[in-house]
Amino acid sequence: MENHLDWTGTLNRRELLGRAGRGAGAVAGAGTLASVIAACGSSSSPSSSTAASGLTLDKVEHATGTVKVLGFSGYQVPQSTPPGMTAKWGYNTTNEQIITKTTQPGSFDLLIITSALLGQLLLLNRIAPIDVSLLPNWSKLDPFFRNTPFIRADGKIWAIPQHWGYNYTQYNADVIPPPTTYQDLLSPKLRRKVGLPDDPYAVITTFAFFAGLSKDANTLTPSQFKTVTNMLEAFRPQVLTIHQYGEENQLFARHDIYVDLPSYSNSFLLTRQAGINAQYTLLGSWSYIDCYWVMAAATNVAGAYRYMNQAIGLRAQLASTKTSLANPVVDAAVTSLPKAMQYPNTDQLLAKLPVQPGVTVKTNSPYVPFQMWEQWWEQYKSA
Amino acid sequence: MTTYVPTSARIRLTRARSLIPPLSTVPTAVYIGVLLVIPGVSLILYSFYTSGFYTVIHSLTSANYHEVFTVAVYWQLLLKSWAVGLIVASIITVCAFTMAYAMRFSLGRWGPRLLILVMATLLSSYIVRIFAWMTILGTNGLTNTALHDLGLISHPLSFLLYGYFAIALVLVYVYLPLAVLPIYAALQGIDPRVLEASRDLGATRLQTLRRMTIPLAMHGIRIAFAVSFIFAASDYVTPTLVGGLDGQMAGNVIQDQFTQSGNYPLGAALAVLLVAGFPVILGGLAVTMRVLGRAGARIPRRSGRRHHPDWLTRATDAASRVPYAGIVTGLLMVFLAAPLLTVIFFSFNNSPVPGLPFEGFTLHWYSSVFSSSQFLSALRTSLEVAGLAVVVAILLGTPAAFGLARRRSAATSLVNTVVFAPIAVPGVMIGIALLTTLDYSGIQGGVYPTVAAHVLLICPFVVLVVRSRLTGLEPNIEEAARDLGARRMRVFRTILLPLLAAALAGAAILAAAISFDELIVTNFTIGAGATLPVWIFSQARTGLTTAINAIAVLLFGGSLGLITLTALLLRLQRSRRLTDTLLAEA
Repeated sequence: MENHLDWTGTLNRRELLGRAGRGAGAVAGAGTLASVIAACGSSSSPSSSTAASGLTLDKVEHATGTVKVLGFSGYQVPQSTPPGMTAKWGYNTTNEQIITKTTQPGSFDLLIITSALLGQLLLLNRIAPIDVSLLPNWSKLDPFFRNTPFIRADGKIWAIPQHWGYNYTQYNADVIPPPTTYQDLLSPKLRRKVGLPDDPYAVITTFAFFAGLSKDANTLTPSQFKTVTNMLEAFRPQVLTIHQYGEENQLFARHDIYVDLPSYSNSFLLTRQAGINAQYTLLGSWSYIDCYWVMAAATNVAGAYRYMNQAIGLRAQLASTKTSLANPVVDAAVTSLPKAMQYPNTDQLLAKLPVQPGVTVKTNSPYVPFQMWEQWWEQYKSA
Repeated sequence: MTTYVPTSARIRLTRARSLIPPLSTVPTAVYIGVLLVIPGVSLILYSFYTSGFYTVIHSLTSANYHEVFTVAVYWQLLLKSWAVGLIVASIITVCAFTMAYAMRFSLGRWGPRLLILVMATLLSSYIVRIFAWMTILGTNGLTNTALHDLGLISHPLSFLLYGYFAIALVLVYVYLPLAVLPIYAALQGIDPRVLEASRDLGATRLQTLRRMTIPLAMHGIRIAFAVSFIFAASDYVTPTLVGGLDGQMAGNVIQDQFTQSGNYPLGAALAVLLVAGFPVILGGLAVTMRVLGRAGARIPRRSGRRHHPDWLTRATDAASRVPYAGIVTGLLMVFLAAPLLTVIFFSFNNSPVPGLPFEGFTLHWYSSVFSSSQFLSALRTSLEVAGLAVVVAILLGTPAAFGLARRRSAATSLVNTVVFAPIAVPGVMIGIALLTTLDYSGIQGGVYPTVAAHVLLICPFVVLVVRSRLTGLEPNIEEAARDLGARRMRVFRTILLPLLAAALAGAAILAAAISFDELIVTNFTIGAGATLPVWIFSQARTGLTTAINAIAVLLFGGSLGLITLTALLLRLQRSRRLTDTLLAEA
């Protein structure tokens, strides 16, 4: 598809005034105001099947202009931007925030988020299927990531793996012995000494593992969900705070907490750099894949493909692995990880720490939907 | 001599005129009204809609309110938030009055300088300063370490961080500088000779304070209390960072319902109830104060001087000579400066964690900041947004302040409500509503929509500062100039503008500080791009490093430089005016 609109996120004044005039005019009438309100929160993205139609490899390779990316800043490296193109990044701090931030069609071309949100993004018509034949670097990915079912739905590929990682239970080894069972985490010594990240998906999944539901961690029936949430309620006296990801190393450094779960990626290394003897155990561990997604209403689709292709190339993978300290999807880039994080075989590690599929969004399924997970978490945090 | 008898036609005309708002307030009121009517109306409508999956279903229901009132967690959170707001606002108002009083009446020429210092504490990243509080209050933090080393405690005090104590402390810290400003402006309007007269007539310091100073400054005190209450009760960043699991507030749940859980109608119902509580509580307080005031006035006072024993008189005299306001102000300055000093100190820490432990001196974080293209890009965007927003807000806010300060009409209170309404609407709701409106209008998020949003947020503060200054200026001066033949424009240029220069500079600095630090609304309107706070917050995901301290120090240094430059320019302008006057007289 041609780069028919080269939005850069800003407008010249004439355009702004024109569009603002339209907006103001629309708002002026009470009837139209109702339309504005009706539009608020509604899903108005175009059909998700059209994004890549008419796109050829030649058009992708010669794409220019600006590509607008929404993702975590750690993944932003100059090596991902192809020559002659510019990348404009927006950032999100929580996984769910991307849903709100992509409400406006055309605001972003590419999105980076975990594959576990496939169902949510599909339901909201936010993403377009991806034609991997337009990505020459697709073949260079570790076969596990090319073949993973977690980026597929309805026979189409919807996401391109970019990095992956696994969660773990991190602890201060100078203060407590290595926790080997969930019961160890209930020790009176850990009362108000545990941190949880503000990520209901990650926390509830981890506690489902603790409850012995590792096979069904993302497909919990109401009774299983009750078991897991009861465990979390019983665990409440241990919890000091529910923090943002990345804050845990400061909590350890100040001795506010002795255990954090689930921690992820490079967290234990940063904690060690803060002078704490941080160790981790794979108790309750599982993996996730962060992926590129092409937005259904992308305005520079060819540019998005070109950018994405470059980002999964070895050079960009080496760079983004170094800055984000997340595991690469191209095996040769593992050397960019610090020694303490390197691993010999991706497939073996992933077999041990299985990737989780994400929670259903269907309210008529036998499983507790994602919405219920979120609402329960809200009440847990506020109680 | 003829007696003026108003005709019924004249009375009607006067009444009709009183219903027309001052013309100069109209652009601001319309701007804010239009930009607020959307979030306001959508907030109310959303609260009656049914929740879909990160959407709303347009079938009306009262189920959201039912949920708020029946799920104990929610209504308890509302009560807790209002209670925290009231406690924090009470502490802030007392502290702010003490500081403003000392600056105005006790500290002489150091007063205005101290005010600048107080405002300067606002000029580095709000998030980074809250992180600094965590370094101060943490288990092995500076406070616990100091108390332990002094032998005052054997175990760390665990209540300092993560709970309502920490929330209240940090909220007082965050909003105290904002509250000092309106009270100081109100005290500026009090002629010190009035207070001297009160003392000459035999009133004690305390009586003068109670019967003269406080009533005369009541307008500023009320503003300070109301603003602190609203901001503290609806804050969500502070409880998120220092509240822990035991210290949550309604702002957190509202924010989460819009950005995490996707139940917009429930978030809206909570927001409507939270906001609706503000006028009810503030109105209730005002009525209570009035009733108490009347009851107090009815208590018969003992006539004549009371005879105290000599020792008591001497002790009272000695006590009254203690500069309480100055001492308390000094302590409060330490309180306000502590996080900033912590940030500065730890910006040289050779450790990736932006706090304890201190592992050696390095300048590495400063060089890393300047070599970060992400930082430089975000800084550029922030400067662009803040610069444009401040100019527009001054242009809109100053005439509005004139209208509100110089003309009273029935419509004035309505305009007043509209102008200050953005303070009462939760930022997250403004952000969401603007995002969806941009979507509908086909305008992409970016710098200009963010500027429009920031103007909405900072305009009330510009009006507040300029109006407070104008209230303290004698209108007779303007009238005298007009009587002597000067046109309105000349009066404005030669009399009002010089008198207002400092207030305008202060308003611009305050507005720039708020705009530069704004995160909640910007997060939704900036689109593909990032201002500094958005970028800093996004850094948290992969672990905040000490570089954020360096960024905060650089912002603080830059802002102080700007203030110094402004002060020098104002001084230069004043000396030029003096020279011109002398030359003219010669």
